[in-house]
Amino acid sequence: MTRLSQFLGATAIAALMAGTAGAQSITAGLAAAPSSMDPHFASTGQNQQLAAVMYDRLIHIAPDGSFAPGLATEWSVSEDRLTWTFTLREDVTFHDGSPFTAADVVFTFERIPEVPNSPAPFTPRLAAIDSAEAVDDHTLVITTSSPAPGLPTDLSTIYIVSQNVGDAESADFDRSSASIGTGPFRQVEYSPGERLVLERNPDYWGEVPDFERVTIRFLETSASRIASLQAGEVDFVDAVPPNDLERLEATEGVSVIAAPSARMVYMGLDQMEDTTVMIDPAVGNPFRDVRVREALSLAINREAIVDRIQFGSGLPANQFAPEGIFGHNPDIPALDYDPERARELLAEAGYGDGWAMTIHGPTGRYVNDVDVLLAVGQMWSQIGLDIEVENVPTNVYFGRATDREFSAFMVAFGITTGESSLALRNVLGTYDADRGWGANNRFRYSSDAFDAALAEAFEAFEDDAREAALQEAARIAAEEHAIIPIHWEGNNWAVRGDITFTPSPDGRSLVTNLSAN
Amino acid sequence: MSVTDTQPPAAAPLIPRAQPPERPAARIIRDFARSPLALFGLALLLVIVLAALLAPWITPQNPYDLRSLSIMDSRLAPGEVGFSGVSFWLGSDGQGRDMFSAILYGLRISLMVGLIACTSALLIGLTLGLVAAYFGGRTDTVIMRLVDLHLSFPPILVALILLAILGRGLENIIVALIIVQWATFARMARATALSERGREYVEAAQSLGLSRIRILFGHLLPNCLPPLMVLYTVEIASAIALEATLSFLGVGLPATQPSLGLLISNGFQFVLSGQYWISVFPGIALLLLIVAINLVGDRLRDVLNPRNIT
Repeated sequence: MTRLSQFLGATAIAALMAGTAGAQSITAGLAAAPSSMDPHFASTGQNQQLAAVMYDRLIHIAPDGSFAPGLATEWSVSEDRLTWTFTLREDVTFHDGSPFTAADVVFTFERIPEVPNSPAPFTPRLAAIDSAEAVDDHTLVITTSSPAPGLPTDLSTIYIVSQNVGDAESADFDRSSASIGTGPFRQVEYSPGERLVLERNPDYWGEVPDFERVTIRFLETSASRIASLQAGEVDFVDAVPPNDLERLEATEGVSVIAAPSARMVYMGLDQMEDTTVMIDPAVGNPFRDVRVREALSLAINREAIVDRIQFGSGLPANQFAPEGIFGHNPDIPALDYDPERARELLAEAGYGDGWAMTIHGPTGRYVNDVDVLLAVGQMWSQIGLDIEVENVPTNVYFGRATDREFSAFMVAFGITTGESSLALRNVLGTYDADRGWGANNRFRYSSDAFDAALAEAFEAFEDDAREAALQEAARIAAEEHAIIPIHWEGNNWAVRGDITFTPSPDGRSLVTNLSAN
Repeated sequence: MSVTDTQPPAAAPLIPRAQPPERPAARIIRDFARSPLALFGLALLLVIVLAALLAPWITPQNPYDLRSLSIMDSRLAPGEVGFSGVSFWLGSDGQGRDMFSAILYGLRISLMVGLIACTSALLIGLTLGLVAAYFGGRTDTVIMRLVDLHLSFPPILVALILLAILGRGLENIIVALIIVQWATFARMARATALSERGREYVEAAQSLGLSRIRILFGHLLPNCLPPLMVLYTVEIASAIALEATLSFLGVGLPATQPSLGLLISNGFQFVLSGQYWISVFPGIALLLLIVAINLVGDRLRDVLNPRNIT
């Protein structure tokens, strides 16, 4: 392999020869096993990161967060904004050799609601669609009952299968008999929780992968993943714990790829009523005062948390969307660490003597979460609060948080759609079950200005207007210190030998992002 | 500890002494001191207990007070001077806790958990064991089958299940340890009491018409104590080890009050990257504590064994 890569030398040649160079096969060790190989079974990250390499989508999301052509080369929406016309790519064939047509897309849309027992169904992503019609083999017309600017985003996660799949069940995808997509890889063999074998699709319309065959092993425990990489049993692993980064970097033949993710860890502060459950009613609810929230934010040394606890993995955060995610507002300043100013603000707000409270966080849900919460406890103690820290087992933590048993608590939200609207709506939108807003707003932040800005984003058709509205919403939330952002978690991968991994903004461990040097 | 001596009831001066003439505490101390190893264990134990008791006054930092910690001081090597100007003689852990302080505070927790849990388990086990032995019959069967059932499960498994139900916390871990340990004491108490029950002094007491309660606790109990005291010492050591194991597995004490087990567990992830001190020093402290208790316990067994009395 080394001689081969020396021979290939320049990447340009390598790219040219990618089709012929690879009698190569590699093995990847991934932390999360999928719940099914059926690409329509669950919209969870671990399912989608496998589905995405075997099944293509109409619309792709480019690295800069904008839409890019996938199986659809062009699309347009009518004057009344209710009819979308998609022109589909020609000369695309499925893994079984049959041609890709608009009928397959219609079949996929019809199949998705029929998939039983889905724990995280794709149906909400098709909810806007009133009807889909194959006008001819390469023209698809979608009508919606009301204007749906979010349709391209939704369609970017719908995995197109061949109509030859027929009435196959999810189990048939596990048996590889129904796995007919158009993606860069095709499924050869799968044993649940153990391994997935993929073979390159040489006829893929886009960039054909460098590797002939990729075997994915599911290695849940990080220690065994790391050990397998060091022993040379696997060539690529994901979810490398930050604590192991230094050691892996020092290992010969292994390189580490680190990238901040779009998953932000933050402290939520209960702002619903004039008292809050973890604070003495005589003190009241300090979190209703924006000066207090600002003080708590100023008290946190984010650089230190990333550096000392996360070993430099991740980035100090100031809003949900990091750079590169649609809706990122570059004008929001980085959050300072200034305990002096924090104490002043507390005094101004009339809380100069601080108060006593217990803060909460999960155990093992986020990277080094127990240590991050303890550090937050330290930092808040140092501005004069009397803090107890309680780490709750993850399986009961979120239920208790939703039941509003906490006053100040740690949660994270990961953006997986390439844009910030869901994070803003679910976490910061005023809680309203009927409207579907604020599903994760367990601390009940509520701002009319924020809601108005966000509503605008959900109605805007033009990308510019949408982005401006999202940025405005993010600005309001930052100004009002709706939550206390801590950091964007880091994603870390490691490869051995002459392999490169190029992370994508969604942070998924896509084997299509692996290339030979 | 004049436990080998059974004072005849004051109301019955005519009854002769049931035991050989008394050579109580003095003999035990003399015998104990014959073993230099046991003396070393005792001295070590005293030093550890003293250090643990005095921890708030002799440590540079209170590791349980978040105010005095700073993550800027995290993972300093032994001897390094921290951000705040404090010297970390044994290094610091991931939260910036001084390892020396954390170890002494951890020893406090270990000793406290061991003592409270074992004393309670001893009291419960002793009572049930005596009752089973003295009353016999159905009472004996019920109690002892319960004990058998209990001892057929590995202690760590029982404790893990209990803590999964009860949740983390100091009280919960003590409850779990009591539940795990009472059966051992009950079995030992019953066995000893059974062999004592046929002795003349019990018959004498019975012929005097003393109440059952009085015979049980006034006569049987003192004579059953020596082997139980030995078991008690050894069980303290195993309770401490069990607590450390549970904390290591993450179900024991909360992260804000690290006991030795949790300190070892916290440092475990850093051992391979060369930051040995976070795990190794608390490990050594735990080892010394358990060895010291066991040395003392072993010698006590030899000294208190009636067969060794010449």
